[in-house]
Amino acid sequence: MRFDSLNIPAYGPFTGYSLSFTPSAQDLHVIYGKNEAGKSSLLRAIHHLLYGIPNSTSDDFIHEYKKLRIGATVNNGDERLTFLRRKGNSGTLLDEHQNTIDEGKLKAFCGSVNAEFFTHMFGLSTDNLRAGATNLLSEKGELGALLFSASIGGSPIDAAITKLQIEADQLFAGSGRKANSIVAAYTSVTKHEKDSRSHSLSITEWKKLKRRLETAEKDFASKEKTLTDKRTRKTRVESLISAIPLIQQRKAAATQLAEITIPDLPSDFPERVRASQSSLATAESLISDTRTILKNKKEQLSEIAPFQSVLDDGPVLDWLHQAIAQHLDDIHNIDSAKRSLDKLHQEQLDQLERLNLPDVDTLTSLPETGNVKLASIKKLADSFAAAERAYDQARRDSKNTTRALKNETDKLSNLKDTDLSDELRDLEARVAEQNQNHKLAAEWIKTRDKTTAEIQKLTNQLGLCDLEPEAIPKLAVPAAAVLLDFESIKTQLAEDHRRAQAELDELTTNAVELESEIQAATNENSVVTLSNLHDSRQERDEQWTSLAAKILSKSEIAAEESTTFKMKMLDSDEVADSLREHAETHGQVKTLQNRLHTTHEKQKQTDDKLKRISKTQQEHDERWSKSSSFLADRTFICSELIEWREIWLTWCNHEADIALLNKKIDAHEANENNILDALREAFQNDNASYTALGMRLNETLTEAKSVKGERKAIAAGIESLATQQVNHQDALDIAEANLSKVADEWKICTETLELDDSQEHAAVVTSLELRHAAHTTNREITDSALAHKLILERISSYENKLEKYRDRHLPDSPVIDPAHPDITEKRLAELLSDAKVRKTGHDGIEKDIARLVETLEVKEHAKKSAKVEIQALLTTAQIDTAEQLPELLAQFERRKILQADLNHANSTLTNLAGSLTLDELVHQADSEESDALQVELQSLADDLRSLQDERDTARDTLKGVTSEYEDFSRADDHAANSKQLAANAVAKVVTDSERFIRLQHAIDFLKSQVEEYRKKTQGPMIQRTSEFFTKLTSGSFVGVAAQRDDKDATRINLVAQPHNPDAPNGIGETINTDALSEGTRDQLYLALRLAAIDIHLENHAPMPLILDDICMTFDEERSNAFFEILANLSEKTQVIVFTHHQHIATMAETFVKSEQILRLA
Amino acid sequence: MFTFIHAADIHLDSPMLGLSQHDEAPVETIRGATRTALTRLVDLAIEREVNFILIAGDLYDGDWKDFRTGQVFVNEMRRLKAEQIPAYLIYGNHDAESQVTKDLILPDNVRVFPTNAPATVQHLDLPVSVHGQGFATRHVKDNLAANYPTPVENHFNIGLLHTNVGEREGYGDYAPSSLAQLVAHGYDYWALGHIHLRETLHKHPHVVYSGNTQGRSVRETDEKGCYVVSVNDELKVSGNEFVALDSVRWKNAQIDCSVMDSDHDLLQAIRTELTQSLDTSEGRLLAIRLTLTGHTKLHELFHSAHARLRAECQSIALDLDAEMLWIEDLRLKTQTLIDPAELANQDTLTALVLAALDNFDPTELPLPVQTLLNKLPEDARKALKSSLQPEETLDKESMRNDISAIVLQAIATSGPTQ
Repeated sequence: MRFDSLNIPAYGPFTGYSLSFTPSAQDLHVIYGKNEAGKSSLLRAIHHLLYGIPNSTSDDFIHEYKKLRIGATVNNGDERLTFLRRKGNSGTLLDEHQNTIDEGKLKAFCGSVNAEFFTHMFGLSTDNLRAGATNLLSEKGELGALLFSASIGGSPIDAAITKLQIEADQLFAGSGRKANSIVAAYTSVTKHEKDSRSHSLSITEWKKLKRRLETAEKDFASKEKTLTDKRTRKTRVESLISAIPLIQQRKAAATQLAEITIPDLPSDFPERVRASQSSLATAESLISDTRTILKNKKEQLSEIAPFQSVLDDGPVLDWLHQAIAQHLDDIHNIDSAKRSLDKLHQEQLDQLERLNLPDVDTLTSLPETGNVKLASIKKLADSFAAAERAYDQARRDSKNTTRALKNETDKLSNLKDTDLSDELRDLEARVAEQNQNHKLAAEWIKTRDKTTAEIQKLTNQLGLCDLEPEAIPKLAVPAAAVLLDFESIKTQLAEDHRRAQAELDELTTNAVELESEIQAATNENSVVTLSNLHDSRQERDEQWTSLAAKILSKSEIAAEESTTFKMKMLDSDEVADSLREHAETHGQVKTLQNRLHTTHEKQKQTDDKLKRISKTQQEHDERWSKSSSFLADRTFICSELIEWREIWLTWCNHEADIALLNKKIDAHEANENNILDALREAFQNDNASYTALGMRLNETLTEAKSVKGERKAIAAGIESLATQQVNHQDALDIAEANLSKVADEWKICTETLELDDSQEHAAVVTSLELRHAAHTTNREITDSALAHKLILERISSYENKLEKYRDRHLPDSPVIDPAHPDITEKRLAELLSDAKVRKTGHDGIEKDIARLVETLEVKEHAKKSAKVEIQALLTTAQIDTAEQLPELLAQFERRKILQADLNHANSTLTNLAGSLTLDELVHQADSEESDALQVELQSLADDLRSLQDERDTARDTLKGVTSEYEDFSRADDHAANSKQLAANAVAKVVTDSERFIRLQHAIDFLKSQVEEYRKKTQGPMIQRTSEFFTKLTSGSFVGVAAQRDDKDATRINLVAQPHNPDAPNGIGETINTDALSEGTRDQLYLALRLAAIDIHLENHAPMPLILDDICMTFDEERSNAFFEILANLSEKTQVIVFTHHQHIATMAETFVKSEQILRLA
Repeated sequence: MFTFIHAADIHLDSPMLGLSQHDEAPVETIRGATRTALTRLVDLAIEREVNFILIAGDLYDGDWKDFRTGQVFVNEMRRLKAEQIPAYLIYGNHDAESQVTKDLILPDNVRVFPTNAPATVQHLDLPVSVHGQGFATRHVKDNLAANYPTPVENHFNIGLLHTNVGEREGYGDYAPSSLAQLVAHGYDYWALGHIHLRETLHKHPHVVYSGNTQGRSVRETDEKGCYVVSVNDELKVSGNEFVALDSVRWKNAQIDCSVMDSDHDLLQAIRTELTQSLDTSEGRLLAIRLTLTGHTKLHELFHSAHARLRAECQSIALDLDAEMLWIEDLRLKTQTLIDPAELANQDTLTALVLAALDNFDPTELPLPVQTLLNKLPEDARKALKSSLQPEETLDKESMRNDISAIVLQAIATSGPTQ
């Protein structure tokens, strides 16, 4: 892939910015821009263009985040793609028309180069070159992996291995708090298996338990039997003790029973006697009461008055009562009915007169129209009138359209012809474009003038007014780095000098102080030294030697000699004493003397150093003088020159800007002249100005456009009118046909109804409505006359009936008042109501009498039955009269109580007998003594207590063993369940281990592949790096070599091989990367990266290589070498170099054409 | 005339194998599945009022020492005794080594055949003679059937035998016999045990394996139970009805992934498969192994996201019915859709990996695997044999296939800007 152009509508500092990359055999382009011109932004923009704008971009400081756009045209030899990148999460790739396009289209151009690979291989700045190279050279020593990744298109092999390793580790040991791993599962296996074993029941345990159970069962059975026997005897003794008094009671009751002689009677005999006696008394009382009531009722019946004749006429009297309201209405309405009939007759006479008819018969002979028919005739009359109006309107419209059409056709034929040539259209476009650029050009001129003024100002500032402008950029101004270096060294030397001087001064002061301290110490004490002691002792010894010789030779010794010797001895002793006494002071003095000596030494050294620094300063000043004397008439101090140089660089940049602006302005003016020539030729006017001709062109075009527009509008109007004319003619035809149809219908209608069709439609309709009203009135007269007659007949009939029944039932009442017949009617109604009430009372009493008679009969029967029952009971009891009954009943009750007592005693004794019969018990009780039984009972109770304890103990033992046995027999499943859980854990181990084994194989496999590849690729890679490195360092180094790491044999490091002509193979001792200077290290990094790219390009499609200020630490010679390498590389892929150094841009001119050097404004 | 039940290979208290424990696994349901099967067997005998039952060996698991397991059997036999149903029993190879077998005191309705020689037992009320001999030791290589007594005349003769008829592969040479020999022996019904897959080898005379009563791993799929055999007045078998007794149903389901476009499709297919399988498991816990097959473009993705897929699969199972579904495993047997030659042309790395994989030997174990091997329990080592010592060409090919997919997909998904 290569870039044909970059187009950045909105991104970072760019607005509507574009760059074109002219194709050439050497596809190398240099983009020059000052600091802050946007080079780094441009590199980032290219990255985002290809791989998307990230969410966290900071390039929205001018353009709104959503409006960020970066575009380009790229080609891969066969195809070309123009696209834009917008900000967003998806669908961010757009075509020229801002439509979303598939990301795959661009991906096809990028091939295997993904974003990360592009960053560390193709979009290089010094920082990421160094970072990447550092990784490549030293990070973890995985050179093999990195070479491998580099060669296969950036596949992150390490990441893949790490990813697999993480999964494998997690499988094996788990992650976080989750104990979800092979190790945890295995622990679980062990735990559950142990649990299973500990809960298993062995056969031996089982057998032991069974034996214990049998023993416990036997023991319990024996104890239980003894206890039961004793309990049985105790119960028997207790029974006998209780039975003895009962047996006596039993005998007494039997005797009393024998004394009662009444016959055996049924158990309900007393109840039956009482019931019969009660029934008889009740019956007798009721019979007496009923007879009294019956007598009273009969008396009431005889007192009720007659009522039957009135009730027989009841239906007629009821009718008279119901019809009285209608009768009163009729009397009230008869007069108004007569008046209504008369009014209708009068109305009829009026209508006949208005219709001009002689009599009613003539009216009835005329055809009658109903309401519906009348409405349809009215509608027809309306339709007739509407059809006439529509016909008139259609005729008017048709006439108007025909007139308008003629007017428009005439207008069109009067319009003049105009034409517009392609040439003029082309000129219009060119003029428009040129005019649009005028504003821009004005800005350019303004900027140029401003910059020119600034450049003049800068020339003054620089003090270069005497110099030709062309010479200024060519001045041999030292590089900024050099100046900074000079300044730094100068400052450092001055600082060193200051420090050395300060040190010397301090040392001198120290020496003086030390000397005075020594002096003081020596003065204060008569200081003697070892040498004094030595001297005094030597003098003493010499004196002694002399004395001794004289003593030996027995020579005479002079007294003074002896004294002298004595003095010498005293002196030497004094010195020795003094030494002892002032030993500390001596030590101090000695120390001070030593320090003084050291201080003098240091003074000497510092003095030497000061001299060396001064010499270096002098040399530095000389070098500075040489470097800074590029202007014949001016010298600089370093800081001054740095400032001067900045102004000078600004001057150079301004000059370059002016040149660029001039180029643009010239192009703009040339274009305007070309257009002017074309205009002059088009309008055949050689002297007219650009503005005048432009206006003329504009007018011509406007006029032509106006005429054309008018013609188009009229033609459209004519077309519209023609259509209207056709429509109006159609409407006229329709209205005419409609009118004719309605007229025909109207004619038929008037003929059928015998109407005068010579009248207006409204008059005809009015006449017809009047006829309809007359017919209606006639029908109403007939109906009213009939109603009047019916009322008269109804009044007469009612009055006759009323009189008839008054006379029959109320002969003594007043005759009927014709105005108030209701008085008579009311009397008759009351008469009927009274009769009905009497009838109801009479019927009720009759019913009561019948019921009382029936009751009386029933009671008589009950009385008789009671008497029969009492007689039967007397017979059963074998007595004669009812009076004997109470005594009989008392004896009966006594016998019953005695029998119950006897039964109770027998029942209790039977219970006490237990397994014995009653007789056996009685017999045994008779033979036992009560006291003896009491004694035995006490003894038995004592035995039972101890036996009970023994039995309970045996039972508890059995219960315990049985519980254990049941527990075992319950077939507990704890062991089996633990075994199941262990099996589940094994399954987990197996499942995870299968994956683990595969992952480990995959990891091993990848590692072995990397190592294999390293072995295979390392050679070519190192060879290629060596070639580039040698070239970039201009032969200072002969290449690089791979060396095993001293500490880790698996690590491979790269070392540089310096050129050394004295060495047998020309290679000096290898240098570790860290020991190289910064510049050389950068060149090694670059060599390494270029080698990787070169190897990559052997097997992959080209991808633009972008280098952002890579060579800033390169000197001129190495920069030249750099460009030579890039020129070669650019034959394989497009190379774009960003620089902020003018001299680099200038240097590049040797390698590329001028159009390949672009400026970043 | 009468009915009896033929069952075998109860393997009481033998655990269900291969079910990986997870947090929400329905452990309670699988606990005691073999006990449940025995209880159901006895319930069936009582409910159908059969005249007797036959158990053709392998009541227990050989190395199992918990006496309570024997007690379970005793308790169930007591229930039969209460209904006066006799049980005829021989010991199989697993029972021979079981401590439980030797010391258990069975109720008197259970008749255990001797192990030193064949014996005949006649039914007290029916013209039925049962002949049988149990295993004295775990490895009985003699043809026991050859010495079985001649049939009793006018009786329905049953041979109760634990054997590998026709020496089937994978079942060892336990008391080998041949079908022809059994058919010719003159018995009416051979009630066989040892092979866990039920099969009627011959009819009239009937030679029948009832299979085991409860499947114990994914190798023992589908219904497991016993036969209820009816015999008519002519002493001929008139019916042989299989009745399922299992409470855990094993299934091996294959899912063809060849037409799938995404893992979403796969999860949908898994959901469908599980739903359908649940519908056919008749209310039993379904332990299912899902094996993905087919040439699919998702092959590499499956290998990369195996753990995630397994978790999602488990999640679907929990969603559908946490109590009735247990995913035994999710196996990948898919094949890549990409032609290896085409793949090799795709990029350098793939070409390298593919070329190198041809010579890759999965028997050379990586160091961490060797470390793992030392920690693994014996059962797990056995289960992992095909991964640890892939002897068969098929095993090796399968390993290469898996590792290739893991390697390629790991590389393809490791870059941050893919």
